[in-house]
Amino acid sequence: MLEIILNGLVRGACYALVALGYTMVYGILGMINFAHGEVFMIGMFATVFGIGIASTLLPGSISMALCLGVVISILIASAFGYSNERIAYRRLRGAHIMAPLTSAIGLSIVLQNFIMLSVTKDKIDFPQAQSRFFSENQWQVCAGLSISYLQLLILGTSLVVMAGLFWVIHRTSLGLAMRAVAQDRTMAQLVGVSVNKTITTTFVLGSALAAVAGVMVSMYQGVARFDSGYLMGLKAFTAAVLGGIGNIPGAVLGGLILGLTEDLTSYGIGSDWKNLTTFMILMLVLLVRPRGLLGERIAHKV
Amino acid sequence: MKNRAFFSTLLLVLLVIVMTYPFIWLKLSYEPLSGVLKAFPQWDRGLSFFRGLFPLLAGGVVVYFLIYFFKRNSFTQRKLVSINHFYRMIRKNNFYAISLFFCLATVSWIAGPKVLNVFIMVGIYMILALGLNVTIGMTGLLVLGYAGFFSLGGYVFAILQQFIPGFTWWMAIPVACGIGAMVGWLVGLPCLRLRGDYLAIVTLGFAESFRELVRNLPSITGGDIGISIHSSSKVGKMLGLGVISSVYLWVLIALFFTVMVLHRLYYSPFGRAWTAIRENEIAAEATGVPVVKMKLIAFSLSAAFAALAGVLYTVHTGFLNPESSAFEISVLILAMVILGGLGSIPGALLGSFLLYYIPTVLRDYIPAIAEYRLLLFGMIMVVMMLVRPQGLLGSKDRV
Repeated sequence: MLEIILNGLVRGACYALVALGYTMVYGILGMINFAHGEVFMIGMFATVFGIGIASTLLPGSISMALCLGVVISILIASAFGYSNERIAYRRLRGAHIMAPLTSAIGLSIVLQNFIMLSVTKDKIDFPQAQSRFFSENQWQVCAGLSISYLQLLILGTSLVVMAGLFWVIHRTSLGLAMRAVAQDRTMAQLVGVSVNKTITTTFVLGSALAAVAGVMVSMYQGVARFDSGYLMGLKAFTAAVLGGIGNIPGAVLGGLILGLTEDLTSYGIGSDWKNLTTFMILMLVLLVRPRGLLGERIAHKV
Repeated sequence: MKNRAFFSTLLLVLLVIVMTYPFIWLKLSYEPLSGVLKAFPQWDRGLSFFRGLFPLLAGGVVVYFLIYFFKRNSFTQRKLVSINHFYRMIRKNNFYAISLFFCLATVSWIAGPKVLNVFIMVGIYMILALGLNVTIGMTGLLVLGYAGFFSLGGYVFAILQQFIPGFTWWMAIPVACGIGAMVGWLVGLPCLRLRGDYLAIVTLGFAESFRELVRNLPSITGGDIGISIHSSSKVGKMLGLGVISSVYLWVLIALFFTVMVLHRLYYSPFGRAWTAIRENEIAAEATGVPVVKMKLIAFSLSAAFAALAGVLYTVHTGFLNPESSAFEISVLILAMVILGGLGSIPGALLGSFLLYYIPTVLRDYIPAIAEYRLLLFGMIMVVMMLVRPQGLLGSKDRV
């Protein structure tokens, strides 16, 4: 039982990292960045490619290759996030709500098919040499519970990253600018905040978080596929809605709750039904409490 | 200032080249002894990717210039306006509509089964695009999992004909449409009170869950393998024609029926209310339009048309599997509506013709189209939103 809860928490931490990207963009722009799940998938692929590049350039060192691979993955995913915003969203900022959403869906299809056509239709494996240390060692906490180093790594990294994000948003001038733009874009521009730069930074930050999640999920599952971003995006969005979209602690809470529920469902009913449970949760939240667990009631602006 | 914009665009292009470099040009391989992952540049891979992409890019450039000239040149404008004009002529005069129907019906005597097969699928996609147009184009609600309702209609028919002996396809149409509308109502209920973009994700989740549900209940739905239709519940021969020709005629009748109903609705108080909601929801509510009710009606109506198309599709193929609610089909229908023109009935017809008929015909000559099709649809969606958000035949003031 404890192991199931632990697995659920690990899964939830990954959902939370992706959900943060959705929530940040929604908070600042008021739109659902549908292509975010694909950025996560690109992060997964970029990790494997990054490790390949690093171990070709610097032969011999396994841990160095892993670190460089992570850095390359974050860089590539951020570049994708940046160019997504520049190409597909910036010109549609003032348009009807459907225009950026449609463009985002188109973009996500383009990214998914780009990876499918340029890399492979099948899965690619995460290199064993890099993940062996984390997946084979365990930490025996008590009699019925042992945590693998990989799970510890995922929980630890996501905690650190989330704390870092919280610090950025509440303690730095960049975070101040982000909150200002989220409140009122015109007013922020009038007092000298560079709106374009802030929005771009938000996209880059969100994509970097998705890349971190991509590194960890590809290591945890051992494989990456071109369509793994699709379900992940759907679930991370559910997590963001569950916690209250636009609310950063809410996204973390929603992700953890969703991960726990999924693993408990898999244990109780069968793993075939866990995606259906996610959908049921989404419907129930929208029906009963559409602003989410931690969200605030938002009045319509005219 | 101009210079700066140029340099930032140049930087963006460079960035795109750098960030896509590893995926296109590098090949991953494991060293046999140590098991270390290595990445090497391999020119063939990247070249084969671009070789497949080239016809699409060339086609895209042609389309872009068409749109570019469409803005400037009155010649292309007249061409596209003339489609609208043709449609207007037909709908003004019933005589034209009836003669067009008979013209299209004679195809079933002339054409061979291969051509009819394509035409039947075009007709089914036209019904789907018209149905989706009610929510996306007329009411301004984005629906992503439209194939879920399509598949639902098909499964209602397939399951009923399995358990009720003597159940034929035309009995299934009202049942499937009713169930489709009901499920649409239930799915729409929680999210139509909220902002528009929730509906997009919830319907996407619905299509995905429906597929999962069908897979998880193999005793009723046949699971992954699918379900096949008894020959007694399929379309019988009529007017001395073959089976495929009869199916073609019925699809044609259903298509004309759909166009007629939607046309009438568009110019009724319902259509006016939908347009008002699309243009400005708050203003519509303030002037007394029952927003949630109208959205629900639009959504369940479009779900009912999807179910109708689902029954026709199942009758045509005689077989149904969970892949009928796949995301690709939803995307295909969405791209048809967006390309053709939001809120325009001839636009939806044109869009589904362009995006189904032309790739199917070209597939024999350019095999890469089958693989690169979805990439093309995604690009169409992005480019249309940036360049011409109202679609080819939509009018600017309506969006």
